[in-house]
Order: sequence, then structure tokens, then C-alpha cells
Amino acid sequence: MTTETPSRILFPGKPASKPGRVRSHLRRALHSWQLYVLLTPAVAYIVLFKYWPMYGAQIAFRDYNPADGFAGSPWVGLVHFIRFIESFQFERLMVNTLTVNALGLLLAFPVPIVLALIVNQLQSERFKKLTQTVLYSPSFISVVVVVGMIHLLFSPRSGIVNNAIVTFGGDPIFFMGSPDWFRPLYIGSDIWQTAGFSMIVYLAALTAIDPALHEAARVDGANKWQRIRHIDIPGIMPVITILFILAIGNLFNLGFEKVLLMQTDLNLPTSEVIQTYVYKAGLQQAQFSYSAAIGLFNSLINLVLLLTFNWVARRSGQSSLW
Amino acid sequence: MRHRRFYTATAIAIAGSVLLAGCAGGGDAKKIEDKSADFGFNNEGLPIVDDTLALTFGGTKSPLAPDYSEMELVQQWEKDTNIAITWKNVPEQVYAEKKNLMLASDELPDVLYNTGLTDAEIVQNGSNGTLLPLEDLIKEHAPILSGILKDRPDIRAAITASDGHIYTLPSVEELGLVQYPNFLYINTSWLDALGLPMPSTIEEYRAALEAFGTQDPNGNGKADEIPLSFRTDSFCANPNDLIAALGGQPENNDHRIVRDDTVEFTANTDGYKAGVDALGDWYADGLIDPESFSQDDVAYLSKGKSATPVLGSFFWWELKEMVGDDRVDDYEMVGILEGVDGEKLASVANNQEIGRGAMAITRANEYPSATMRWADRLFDPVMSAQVNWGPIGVTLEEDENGILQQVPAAAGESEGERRQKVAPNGPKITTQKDFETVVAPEPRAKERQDLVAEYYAPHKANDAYPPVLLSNDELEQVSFAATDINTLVKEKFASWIVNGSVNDEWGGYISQLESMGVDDVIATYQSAYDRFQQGGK
Amino acid sequence: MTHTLPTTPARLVESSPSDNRLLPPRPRKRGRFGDRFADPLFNTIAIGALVLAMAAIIYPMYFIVIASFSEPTEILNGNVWLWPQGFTIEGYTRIFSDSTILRGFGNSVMYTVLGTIISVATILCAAYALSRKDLYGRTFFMLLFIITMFIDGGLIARYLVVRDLGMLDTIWAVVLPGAVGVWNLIIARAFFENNVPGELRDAAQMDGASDFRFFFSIVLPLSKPLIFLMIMIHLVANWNAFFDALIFLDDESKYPLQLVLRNVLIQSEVTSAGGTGALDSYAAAQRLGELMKYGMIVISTIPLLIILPFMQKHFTKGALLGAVKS
Repeated sequence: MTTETPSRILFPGKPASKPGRVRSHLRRALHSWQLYVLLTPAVAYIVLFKYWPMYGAQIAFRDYNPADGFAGSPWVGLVHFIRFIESFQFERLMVNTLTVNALGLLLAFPVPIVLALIVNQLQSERFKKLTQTVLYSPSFISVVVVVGMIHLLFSPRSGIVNNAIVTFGGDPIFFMGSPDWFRPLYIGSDIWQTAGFSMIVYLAALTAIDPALHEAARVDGANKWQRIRHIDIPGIMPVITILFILAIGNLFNLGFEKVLLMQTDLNLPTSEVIQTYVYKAGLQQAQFSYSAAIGLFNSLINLVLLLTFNWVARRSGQSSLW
Repeated sequence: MRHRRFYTATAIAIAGSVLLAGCAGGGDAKKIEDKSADFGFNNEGLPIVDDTLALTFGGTKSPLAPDYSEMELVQQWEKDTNIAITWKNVPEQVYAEKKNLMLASDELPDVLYNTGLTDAEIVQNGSNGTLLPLEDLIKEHAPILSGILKDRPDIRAAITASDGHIYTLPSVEELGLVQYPNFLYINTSWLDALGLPMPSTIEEYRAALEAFGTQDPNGNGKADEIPLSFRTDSFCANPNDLIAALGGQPENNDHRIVRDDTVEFTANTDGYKAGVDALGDWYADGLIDPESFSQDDVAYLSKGKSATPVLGSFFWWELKEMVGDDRVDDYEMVGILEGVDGEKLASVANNQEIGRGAMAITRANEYPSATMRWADRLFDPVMSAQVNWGPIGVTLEEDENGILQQVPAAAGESEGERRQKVAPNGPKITTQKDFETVVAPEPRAKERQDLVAEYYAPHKANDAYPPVLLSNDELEQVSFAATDINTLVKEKFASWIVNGSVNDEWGGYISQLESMGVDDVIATYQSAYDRFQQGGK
Repeated sequence: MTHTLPTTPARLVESSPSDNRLLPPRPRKRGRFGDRFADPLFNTIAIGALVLAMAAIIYPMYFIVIASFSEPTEILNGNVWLWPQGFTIEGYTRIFSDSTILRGFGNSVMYTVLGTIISVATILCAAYALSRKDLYGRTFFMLLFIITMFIDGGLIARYLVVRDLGMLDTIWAVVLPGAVGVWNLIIARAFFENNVPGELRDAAQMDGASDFRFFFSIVLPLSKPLIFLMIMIHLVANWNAFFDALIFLDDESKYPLQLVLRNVLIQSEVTSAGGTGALDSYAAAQRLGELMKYGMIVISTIPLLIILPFMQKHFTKGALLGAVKS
């Protein structure tokens, strides 16, 4: 067991005077060498499996030809980016992608939080366990099957939803054939499938709150509503903030497989998104470079969003990513 | 202070990623020196090499197929030729993910067999040297194939790239079926029940559908009948012939037809508009299944087999698949209806009987001569039949006239399933003539041939776009625009029928197509077509 | 291990400013608004909402089970609601008749366990280091990780790297390339940041504990909910993963269950390539594929549904600080 260095206590992290800065930085770094040891496997991982392959991203600026390799393919600069921005679909793709995601974020983000707050308050351990198991079970189902079930359940002829509508005297709705219904169905099924699993994250955060706080509040006569508002929510706020920032940084990413499966000729006006377009363009011809360029473009927007919101969060005193 | 740290950190991180980007390995086109002679290569006769030559083959295979080296036919080849092959063929769905990795990572097999290469990939990998040009090898070492290509310049034209090279060997099967995949059937027991005749004109057909929708032909007291169902992006369930009858102009899935050596785009003409407009009326009258625009094959095929019959009329290439064994007698083929202008137009699809990507030799192969001799054997008509259906004695046997016939499959196994287990597929040519003199079509294929001959072929309204291999530039020009154009056409087609809004939106649609460059695309196809016609002469 | 620092946590908690929480609970004041009206209201609404949510989830799940025993035609014609229609076990028969299923299951267990251990260990260590505000270069490292969420070299480059590392066709190609998710790393870091009080570390240091010792002996035992959250996330992700295996493995005997199931499904959906010969199997194959799709969900989900509830008992309230007190 290592002996404790007294300098830890002597150097409580105050900036050193200017002349000694470099040295003191080094000393501070050396001092916590064990932390770097802990960090090493993860850093080694991202260097090997993330940064090393990153040279592949250059194909977005080249006319990639597999036989010539990455460096051997001709450099074309921003041609692919310009082609995308000037394409006929560009505006629609941006609008659709952003709308589905922003709406999805607004509607879907609070659901697991509410679920976690409720489940956390349950008295019966058995009921609690049961609800958790049930709520996260849909996350094991593949997207193909979920979409298949949407088609079945919302079918205009034989679907249970339309049967119910007709029973109550309404006209059947052709859900999968209507641009207006694509977003509700996409977001709704997404909540159905993922809310339970996200709930687990918040639940884990909630368990870290000291039960004594609740006890004390109860003694002071606070009811469950008040305890949730004044203890639980502040307690998990840092996690909520972090997850929200991460979600914002993902605003232009959509599960392309699901969108593709849910697309019909009729709902294309709302269902064509960047990812499906990339897929279709790439399928026509092995357009590696074009797809890579769109992907990179997408990532850059996401990165900007993430940086912006992280900055906002930090300015407002919330937690931040770094 | 915090900010500066942030920027420094960003700068370092980005610099790090750029440094790491470094350089990547590239391929260099090396000149192939043929080393076949090292193994005692024989210019004629068998074995092809005196010392056993080992080669690696990669590509696709049917998911049901065993490792090819376990196939009787393949083992026979090895014995005959003394070329021992290590097969790395995998199912198509697996191969699709790995194909580009293989081409990009320089881990090429000697031969691609069932290459699974798209036209673009053939042209790209041919011009960059990954695939060897084969025309000289064919001339020197492939007498059988050379003979066929001399008789059939269209096959040669189909496999020749715009740079004059042949990079892949063909797979040809001329049954004459794929041009007419969309068979139209109608429920005749309902027609009888309602006292209606078999429709022969589009008006009669419409009247029949109306009766199906309103007069409860299945007699269960509910209006659950689907007068007409179809699909819009299937290979055999498209309502093209209805559009032709209603609009007076043939139509196919590519919206690209050939008439009198002229390539035409179909989805911007008045005829097309009239057809869509009329179908919009049909939809408004409840004659068309709304799910025609959203269902997949599985959902579509189940409609013919519901407990109570609900399906009035539908498109599919095979009756039994749609309605099941029990109801085969309740339906009959409608075929081509007389259109509004009194003509019968059978639209011809652009599906091809000449496949390009059956086999290719890669630059990893040091023995192209021996390889080409090996491949040439497969083009012998009798061998081609075995490549396609399986070895003689297992799936094929000679009848008294010396023609190969299918051996009926054993109980519990379908012919299709058996075929995938014993036939490696790959390079082969079975021409229309071969189907008369060498091998008989499978019984079900024969049935379909008869239907085509009776109902469709006499009304042929256009030519198919031939199997032209576009050049790199042409492909690039076409494929970018085509993605947008096809999406627009599909989307508008569906929404116009459902919303009946074709007249309001037509002008905007036409100008949008124009700005997408539809004229350039058709011009490109036209010049490629002309090139093909010349290459064929 | 912990017993070497017996007094620290208690002292820490006592010294924290906020409270009277170590005092014995006072007798409840009865009759306050909270207990008489608001809490029952909460309970009613909460349980009502949960029951509704569960019903919305259970029915479709139940539907998958009955669908796996039903004739696809019946499903697609809307006749399957409460019971299987046209009862058949053909889907399951077909799945289980494939001899590679069991081997795939074994592989999956191995990949999942090993992959989860590697991922969770790496993430926890790194997340803790990054949670330390006194880590010099913290912002730099965080950015290093975050950038990888946005810039991706693409599949081909990744394949070449795995090949150059000599991992192709080995277990490492399955468990390593996706091991550290930055998203999970950030979550874990947030947990450490918010739930390991700085005072606890100061106290431990005063007692002469090194960073290693503090992390392994105090932080980890106190972070059970986090550890189990991470295990759960990775178990599920690893169990369901198939893409890396598909790309990096050639040897079919190394395929995980999901890939084996996928291949079985593909085999059943074999279609003859447009227009010729094997006309007979298309509709039959589509039907079988539909049937197996549901059966496969059931089969591949059951192991997780059995294991995961056992992990949930670690999600008990106040696990972290509760442990501090005891």
C-alpha cells in the first residue's frame, strides 16, 4: 500500500505563482499518477479503436476508390458537401430530421424521469421489481419487430386501433399512409421501447439520495409531492442535465433503420430524413465518399449543438461535460 | 483562464487526431504474370493442369447451400481439372457487409464467383485494376464461350464495359418470363356469384371491382371486400398494366421504356397523368386497398388467405402463392385489358435475363489462363444446366429424346430447396434454344411461359431497356439524379392516387423533374443504348 | 479491506453540514395534510399511471409470444388478439433444428460476460479519474473522449485497424472494438462527481489512503447502484450485439447467438433471384420467416428477462450513502 504524500494536503489545488507554473503542473500531474493509471486503459482504447481509424474520415474529402486506399484516392475537397447542401432534398431533410428529433426530445425526455420518480416512491419492493422488469422489457425487442407490430396494430383494415375507432363510431385512419401520423407513431413507439430502460439510469441516481433526507422531510410533514419536488428532483438534476446535453448533441441522429422500415411512399414528406437519404444514395452506387461527407456534416452540427448547450449549462451553474 | 484552457485542450485534441490520421496503405496495380505453366498447364484437354493448382474463390452462395467443396458437382470439377479450390462463399446478406471490406483491404480471393458486384462496382473495380480484363483470355482459352459470344453479340455487348474490356463472365437463362412479372388475377367465383362476365376492357374491369366493393360477394354481410390490392415497389405486384390501359402508354418500375429505339421517361407524360388521375378516381370510389402503398410482401400475400375470402383482384406472378392451394380455382388470370383508347398494351419490364456478375478474376490471381479454361467448361450447355439446377443423376435426368428433365423432389423437400443445396450457380448460359434442345424448363416455369405466350406477349407494347453496362461517368451522372427522381415519382404517385390531387400539382412536379435533370438522365441512357446497339452488330 | 478505515465514513457524515439525519427518527406528526390527503392521492395517481404504462407494454409483449405460436396469415389478417390462432410450433422447430444454436448460445454467454467485465472495469476506472476535479488535464481528456462521439473513421478504416492489430476472427474483435461507450463514461463520471463527496476523499487522504486504495476500497463498494447500472447496460448491449461479429468473424463456429439466429432467419427467407426456377418457395419462405421472427425474439430475450430482475435488488434506496452510515 502506498504511503500518502503530504503534499496532497499542502497543495489543495491553488494555482501556483507564474514562474513555477510549468513545474507545478508537472508536479500536480505526477502527484496523482495513480489516477492516470486508472485512466490509461480507456485512453488506450480510444486511441486504438477511435483515433487510429479516424484517418478514414478523410474519404469525405476524396473520391474514394477502395483499390487506391484512403491516401491514394483523389482529393476533391468540399465537393461532396456542396453537392449535399445543393441537393433538392436538403431543406426537407434538415427540417424533417430536426423536427422529429426535437419533438421526440421534448416529449420523450421527461417520460423516464417521471417513471423513475414514481417507481422510486413505491412502497412494495415486489411491485417495484415487477414494474421495472415490465417497463424495460421492450428494449430487448428488435426494431424490425416493433415496426412490424406498428403496421399490424395500426392497419386500416385489421388493426386493433382502427377496430376500436370504428367501434366508437369513427372513420378508420390510414396511419402508415399519412405524413401527419409518422411523427406521432415514431416518437410514441420510441417512448414505448426506450423509456423503461432510460428510467433505470434515473432510478440508479435516485438510489444515491440519502434516505435520511426523506425521513427528515417526512418528519417535517412533507408529503410525497413535496419530497419529490424538493429532494428527488434536485438530487438527480445533475444527471438530468448531463443526459439532456448528450441528447442535444444527438439532435441530428435518428435510428435510420427504424425510419426506413416505417417509410411508405405516402409518408415520405415527413419521414425522409438525413440518415435514410444517405442510405439510399449509398445504395445506388458505392458512394462511400458522399455518405461519409453527409455523416461528417451531420456530426459537425451535432458537435456545435453540444458545445453550445454545454456552455449554456455551465453558464447557468448546472453540471457540464467537462 | 478557463476559456484558454478549453481552447488549448481543443487544439491539442484536434491536432492529435490529425497526427494520428497519418497515412494509409494504398493499392498499386501490379502487372500480372501468368504462372499457369508452372503447374503444367495444358492448352487443351483435361486435366487443365498436371500438378494440382490451388485457388481461392470468394463470393455469395445460397444460405441453404453447404460449403461448395462438399457439392458433388464441384468435386467432379476438381477431379476433372486438377484445380483445387478453397471456397469462401458466404450467404448474400453476410457478403453484402463484407464485400467492400474485402475490396478495400486488399484481401482478395483469386476469383469472385457469384460476385454480387453491382454495375458500378464492376466498372469501378475493372478500371482500377482490381478485376482483370478477360477479353483476350476468352479469345485464347475459352473456345466454348467464344463460340457463344460470336453467335450472340448481344451477350457480348451486355458484358462489355464502355472501355471495351470484359471484366465479368455472364449468367444467362432465357425463359422469357422476367419481362412480364405482373400477372393480373381476378376472383371468378365472385364474378359468377354476381352474374358478371370476365372483364376484357378496363371499363368492365372497373365495373367488376365496383360490384365487388358494394354487393358483398363473399356473403358475410360485411363490407370487408378488397376489390383490388397491389404493391408499388415489388418485383411482381405493380399496377403498371392498369396505368397503361388508363393512360395509353406502357409503364414499368424504372419509368424508362424503349419504343422504336428511343428511350423514354414515362412519368412526365400526359398519358401517365391520365392513368394516375383515373386510379385516383378508383381510389376515391373505394376500389383500391389503401395498404397498397404501405404493405410488404408478407402482409400482401396473407390477404389472399384470410379465413373469409376478401380479395377481389390482385397482381402477383403466381396465383397459388397469393391465394393458397384451396382457392386456386376461384381465381383466373385477367391478362391485358383493352384500354380507354381501345388498345391492349402489355408493358415490358426492364428485368434482364443476362446477368453480368457471375464470375470475375482478380489481380490476386497468378494463373488467369488456367482459371479461364476452368470457367469455360461451365458454358457448355449441359454443364450450364447442371450449374443452374444440380448434377445429372440428382436433379436432372435425360429423357428418351436426350433432353434433361427435372427429377421430382423427394417428399418433404421442395425443388427450389433441393436446387440450392446441390447447384453452385455461377457462370452459365442456357439460351432459348437450349431450353428446346438441351434442358426442359421446370414444370412451373413452363406453365408461366404458356401464360406469357397466351396473355401478354401478343400485346407487347414496348421494348425493355437492354442490359447496358454504363461507364463510370454515366453511372455517376445517372445515379445521383435517379435517387431524387425515383423518390419524387414514387411519392407523388402514391399521394396523387390517395388524395386525387394530380391536376393541382402536376405543373410543379414537371418543373421539379426538369430541375432534377431528368432530360440529362434520359439522354445518357439514350447514348448508352445507342452504344449497345452498335456493339451488338 | 474497508475495516482498515473504520471510522472515516462515519466521521465524514457527521461533519457534513446539513443535518440532523443521524438523530433517531422523531415520532411522526399525525394528521398532517401530507399523510391524510396528498399521499393517498399520489399513490392513486402513481399506481394508476404505472398500471396503464404496464398494460401498454405487456399487451404487445404478450402479442409477440402468441404471435410466435400463430399462423402468420392469421396474424396479418388481424385475427390474433388474445390467443394463438392456427396454433403451430413450426417456427420454434425450425429454429431449434439448427445445430448451431446451442454453440451460438455458448459463444454469446462468453462474449457477453467477458465484454461486460472489460467494459465496466475500464469505464469505472476512467470515469472515476475523470470525476476528480484535481486531475490535471481533465478537460483535455474529456474532450478527447467526446470528440470520438462525433468523428468516426468509418467501417473500412475500423476493419483495417482490427486487421492490423491481428484480431480478425478472434474473440477480441468482438469484445474490444465497442468496449468503451463515451455516453456510459459520462454517466458514470456524473455519478461519481455527484455522489462521492469531496470531504470523504479528504478524510481518507488524511488517513493516508492512496488514490487506488480510496477508489477500490471505498468508492467502489459505495457505488453499487452505479456498478449494477453499468453491468445491466452492457449485458443487454453485448447480448444483443451482432454487427462486429458479422464484420470481424469468418469462422461460423465463433458466431454469437444473435448472428446464428439471423442466419437461420435468412435461410428461411431464401428467395430465388427474380424470375426463374424455384418459384415454389417464395411465399412459403416468407411465411416461415415471419413465424421465426417472433420466436427468435422470445428465445433471445428470455435469458435477459431471467437475469436482470436479480440485479435489481441492488437498486435499493440510498444504497450509497446508506452504506456510508452503517
